[in-house]
Formats: sequence, C-alpha cells, structure tokens
Amino acid sequence: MKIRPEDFGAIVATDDPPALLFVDRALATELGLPHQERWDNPRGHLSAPTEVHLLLTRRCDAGCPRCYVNATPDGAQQPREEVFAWLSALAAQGVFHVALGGGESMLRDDLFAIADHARSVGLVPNLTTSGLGMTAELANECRRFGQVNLSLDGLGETYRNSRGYDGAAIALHALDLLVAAGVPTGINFVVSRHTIDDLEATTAEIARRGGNEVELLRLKPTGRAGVSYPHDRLLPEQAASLLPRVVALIDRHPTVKMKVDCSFVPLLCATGPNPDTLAALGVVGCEAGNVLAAVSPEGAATACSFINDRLGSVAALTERWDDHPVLERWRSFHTTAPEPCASCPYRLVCKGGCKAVSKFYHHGDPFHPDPECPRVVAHREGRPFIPNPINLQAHV
Amino acid sequence: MAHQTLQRTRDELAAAIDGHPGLLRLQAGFNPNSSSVGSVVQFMLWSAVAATAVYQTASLLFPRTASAPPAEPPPAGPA
Repeated sequence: MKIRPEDFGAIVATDDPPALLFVDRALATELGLPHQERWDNPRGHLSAPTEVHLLLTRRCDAGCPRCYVNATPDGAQQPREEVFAWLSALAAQGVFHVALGGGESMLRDDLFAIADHARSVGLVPNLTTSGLGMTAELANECRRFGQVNLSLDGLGETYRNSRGYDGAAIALHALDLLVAAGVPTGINFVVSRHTIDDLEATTAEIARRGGNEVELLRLKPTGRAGVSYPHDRLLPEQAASLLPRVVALIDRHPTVKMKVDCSFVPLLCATGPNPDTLAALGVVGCEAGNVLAAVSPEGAATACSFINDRLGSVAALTERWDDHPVLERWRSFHTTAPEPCASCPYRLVCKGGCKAVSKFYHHGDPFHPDPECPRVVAHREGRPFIPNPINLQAHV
Repeated sequence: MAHQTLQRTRDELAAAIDGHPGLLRLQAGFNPNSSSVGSVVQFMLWSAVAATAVYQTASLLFPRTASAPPAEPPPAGPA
C-alpha cells in the first residue's frame, strides 16, 4: 500500500480491498509518515489527481451516434512510447489509478503492454471497453486490470437504439468471458431518456452473470452526443425517479455495487442527504483538475475527459499542477459560484454540478451552475426548491 | 517520489484505522471511467452521521481478524 502526503494529512491507497483512505495528519503520522512541508504550507488542492483518464485512442469501429470523443475507424492515437512517458510522469506525480478508455482501447495491439507499464510504475490500470472482439484468451490477459467495465446501456433494442448497432449480446458475452477469467467486471450504463427504462432488466442480467458493479453515467452533450442531446437528456420526471430506482436495485441485487458518476451528484443532493456523510463516503461532484484529470488521444491534458480545455501537454498535470491558471479556475469555481450554488448546503460536495452540461447551455463557457440541477431549475423558475427525500429506512 | 510505500500489512492498517477519529473519508473501488469518482451509492448508511458512516464502511472493507496485532504507538515525532 501507498501513502501520499496532502494538506489535510495523507491518502492511503490499498489494492486489496481497492480503496483510498483520506486520513488526517495525526493518523498519517501514526502510520509512519514523517512531518510534511505542505502541512506547514498548504496548497489548497490535492498534490496530484487520484486518477487520470487516458483516452488511448480515438479509433473505434462501432460508430456510436452519441460517442463523446467522436471516435472513428481511423482516429488518432499516440505511439506506445509516448503513452509510457505519460504513465511514468503521472506515477512520479503521485497518481494512484488510471482509467484507460477511448475510442476502443482493445483495438490497440499494445494495450496490455501499456497496462503492464502502468503496473511497473505503480499505477493501477482500469479499462472501459465495448467488448467487441473479446475472446477467452484476451479475457485472461485482462487480469492485469484492477477493474474492467463494459459499455452497456440496456438490452436488445434499447442498446441498438442507443449505440446504433446490435451489441448488447456482444457485451454480455464479453462479461461472461471476463467473469470466467476472474476479472472484476461491471458495466457502464449511460442513462438517457431512451435507456433509463432498461436499468432494472440490465442490472438483473449483470447480477445473474456475476458482474460486480453497474456504474450509471449521465449522458453528456459532448462529441456526437451534443447533436441530439436536447432530445436524449433525461426528462425531469425520469431524473426524479432515478435514485429511488437505484435504491430498489441495491436491495434486489446486493452483490452488485450501484455507482453514479460525478455528474449525477446534483440529483443525489436533491434528495436531501447529510452533506458531511456524502463527503465522508467519497461522493464528490465536479472535481475536474483536482481529484480528476484526463489526457486526450492527441496527448493534450484536460481537467475533465468531457471538456477540451487543452491545458497543454501532460506536463500541465505534473510540472504545472500547482500553478496552472486553468486548473485553478476549475478548482475554485465553487468558491465564487452564483446563486443558487452560493447558498447551497451541498456546494462543497457538488461543486456546481456537471460543467460539460453547463458548457453546452452557456455557449461554450463551462463555469456556470449545472442547468439541469433540480435546485438550479427551481431558482431559474423563481420557485423555492424543496428536497425530495428517499425513504431510506424502507431499504435498510 | 510523491508517494511512499507504506510498510503495513492489511491487518495493521485495519487496526490503526479502527475507530480512529483521523479517518476523514473513504473511497471504495477502482474506477474504469474517471467520471465516477468513488461515488458508491451507500444509501444504507445515509441515515447515520458522517463519522459513523465512514467507520461502518471501513469496518466492512477492512475487517479486523482475530490475530490482528494492536495498533503500534505513534512514533516519536516533532514536538
């Protein structure tokens, strides 16, 4: 296990069980960390991202109509030596995990060499894939990843309508192969107006086949997804129904972890949970440029994988991590955000919601409150916001 | 090097964090998609206060075994 000094103390990273523990200075000292210079001179942000999303390629044959990176069969990617250099630099900075995606990373014939290099420099590589082309042999090779998630936004027709090809059976077959190989495997489910009603059936299928998690990703208006976003985004009544449905699924399928992505945090907060409890359990909203960062297939560093803010090369995440003005803008938005964020009790957890959605509605400027947050909608319509709590006791 | 290897076994770590007020936050799992920053939906714990919730989760993730040694005393540090 590793320990990384931070302003508040340190982060301890363990592989088994996979976890990050944020500990104060006293506990960090008790665990053996000597006194740190940044404890005397706090920087106000993490010493490095905890994880970085590497888009290894813009190449993909699937042609999904809502692909957020505009992937094509001849999309760009960097040579392996360049990717190795990114990984080495990020590891030296103190990053713990890398999320490998694309495009379709499995199309790279050096994917496993890249994963091995990540391991060799102390990073845990994790993978997202469509499952296209998965074989038993490749599934065995995937044992070098910490976690593999398959893109699966529903079953049958729902998948076909979402992704533009009949790929659900392919993804489920890949899930079977990966589970049989002993690879911790789950799915990424992009939640849209057209997929949400397949959530229950899809989760049941994942549980039945031995998958370990369902990660719900809010559809974001990025890449080709921006074209039809107004017709694809969740309707307000669907958004309000999501979390009660997730709670019910937790009851029904206790072996499957139900996760939501950072962009759903405004919806979580709209149910009125204790903000301190959310923070303690590692629930974070927009942490672009602090907890998170990304590298595009062209090698450009970005604060978030859904926004092309082009910070420069990967050096922006290493050599310029403490003083890059664009990173500082991302980190400080919540401190100057306008109403209703300014008076929101969840401001420190949510941090203004999804900037990719804000950017879409604000002519390219991401630094606005998430326009689809229920609290923001109420503010815009001039009515008071009333939280919609879930009856949690019914599910304990 | 930005991080250091922590020379502790899992049991030793479990013993050190067990009930320690300095455990501020716990993020479980690896994330294949970087937009999911450990937001495991721990609905069952929401009714608890934050301090209890994080220890309940820690005790599930890091159960102490019967043979786990007691936590070591803090090393002598700067005054």
